[in-house]
Amino acid sequence: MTADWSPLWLSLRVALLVSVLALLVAPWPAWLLARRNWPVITLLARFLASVPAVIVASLAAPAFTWPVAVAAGLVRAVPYTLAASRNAFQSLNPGYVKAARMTGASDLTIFWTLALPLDGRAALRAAAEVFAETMLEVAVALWIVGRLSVPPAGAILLTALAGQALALWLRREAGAIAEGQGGR
Amino acid sequence: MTGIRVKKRVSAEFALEADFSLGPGITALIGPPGAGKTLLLEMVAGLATPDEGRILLDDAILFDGQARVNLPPVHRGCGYVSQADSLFPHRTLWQNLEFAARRFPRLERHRRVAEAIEHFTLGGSAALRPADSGAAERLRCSIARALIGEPVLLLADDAGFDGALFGLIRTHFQGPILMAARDLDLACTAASEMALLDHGRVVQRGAPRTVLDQPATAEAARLAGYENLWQGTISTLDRAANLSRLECGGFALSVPYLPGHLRGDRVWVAIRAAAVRPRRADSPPAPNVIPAELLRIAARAQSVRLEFAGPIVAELSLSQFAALGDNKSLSLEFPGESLRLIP
Repeated sequence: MTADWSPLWLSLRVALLVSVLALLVAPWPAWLLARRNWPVITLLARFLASVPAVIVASLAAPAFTWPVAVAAGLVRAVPYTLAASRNAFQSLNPGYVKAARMTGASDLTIFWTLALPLDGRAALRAAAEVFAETMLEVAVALWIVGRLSVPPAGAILLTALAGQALALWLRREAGAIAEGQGGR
Repeated sequence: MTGIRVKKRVSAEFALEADFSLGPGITALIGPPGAGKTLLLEMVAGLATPDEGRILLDDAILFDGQARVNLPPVHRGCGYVSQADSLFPHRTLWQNLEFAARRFPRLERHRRVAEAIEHFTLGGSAALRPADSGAAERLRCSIARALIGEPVLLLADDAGFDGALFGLIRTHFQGPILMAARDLDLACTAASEMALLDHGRVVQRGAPRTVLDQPATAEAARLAGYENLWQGTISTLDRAANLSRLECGGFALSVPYLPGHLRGDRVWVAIRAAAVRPRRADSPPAPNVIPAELLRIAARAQSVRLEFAGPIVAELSLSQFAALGDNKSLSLEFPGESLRLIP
């Protein structure tokens, strides 16, 4: 009897879509939020980032299809990526921002020319973490409804680990860049 | 005219309140860290917003609290060199300048960047990132970046300028410069006007020589580098003999008659360490010579600093110190012409 590999493809599709969408959506509002203090939004983002929305959706939704899983994944992924990017953007040297503003740069220009190139890796890292976590979440959701067998579960676990490893590597790289920025 | 009149409350303890006009030359803002120099420059640049006041540059209104005018930085005609290195680390020096000039059309932008590279001798490191070029190049590039839009006023925040650099700036920029500085020597060399800023307030301003020689208040004397500053009580006032006597704690000083004072008034007395003359204790008595207990001798590059109880500080040249010999039982002479009396 051959194993049913559809859970692997399902979780891969959901996790990839979720992380790419989060990467596209989150950094710009994160940059706007980094320069303002809106505690309510910050708290809300922190709360949403800790909800296992995919599992909740698998139990609550009438039909657990892949678009439902993606939508549920985004509920957590976007706030998570946003919070991580916001933290990174807040550490952007204010001297750079002031120098840019002296030459008439808008928020969008500063985002593209300074924030993303210098601190954009945090968003990539968060997306990689989101990918790994969403893979696992989908797997758990499928396991709960009894659709997961051992071979795809192992493959999902390995893929999620690869995502986490990528996130760790990005974190190390970001640290190395931050040290290099100090100049000689 | 160019004038700055601003108020800004930053915290419960600190408020900046300044009102002064800028001359055509270099104006040096002198003050300790935390006096508000950077904030003042940022308000002129448009990077910080005053609570109230008015900033004029060549009669153009940059900021007016009542009329709600607040021009964005790029329309203020100010170039700004910040205190810390703020060249973009992921771009080469050339690209940094190009970014600052990006509102000009392509050819004009190229011409401006090439000119700036040439004027500030950055040819060798134009293709390097800031981290790979030297500190001097980075500083020259920051200045070139601030000047590339041909500002009317250059704001420089204690960025480590020296006299030679000011010469270089002056050959390419003739407008007024407002600079924050800690170095009194540099302010004296380069600036035509000096403003002493202490805890958010301008305590004195004028030509550097005047400010340094005639501090108007005790804070001004401290900022102008007077190491010795005491409060004394007037004990004698003799107009006929043109003489006053001051009791300063453990000793008394004779100074010229102080008009407009009463006996018992408290005044500040200031004298620079270099003007205090230590003498051997056995030398003949003279006016304004007091015995003093030597506590510490600190060698410096070009001088020797003697610290006496009081505390009183004296600074001697190496040869003067050698002339004192081994005799460290000393008295101190305060030459009358070097004593500054501050009401």
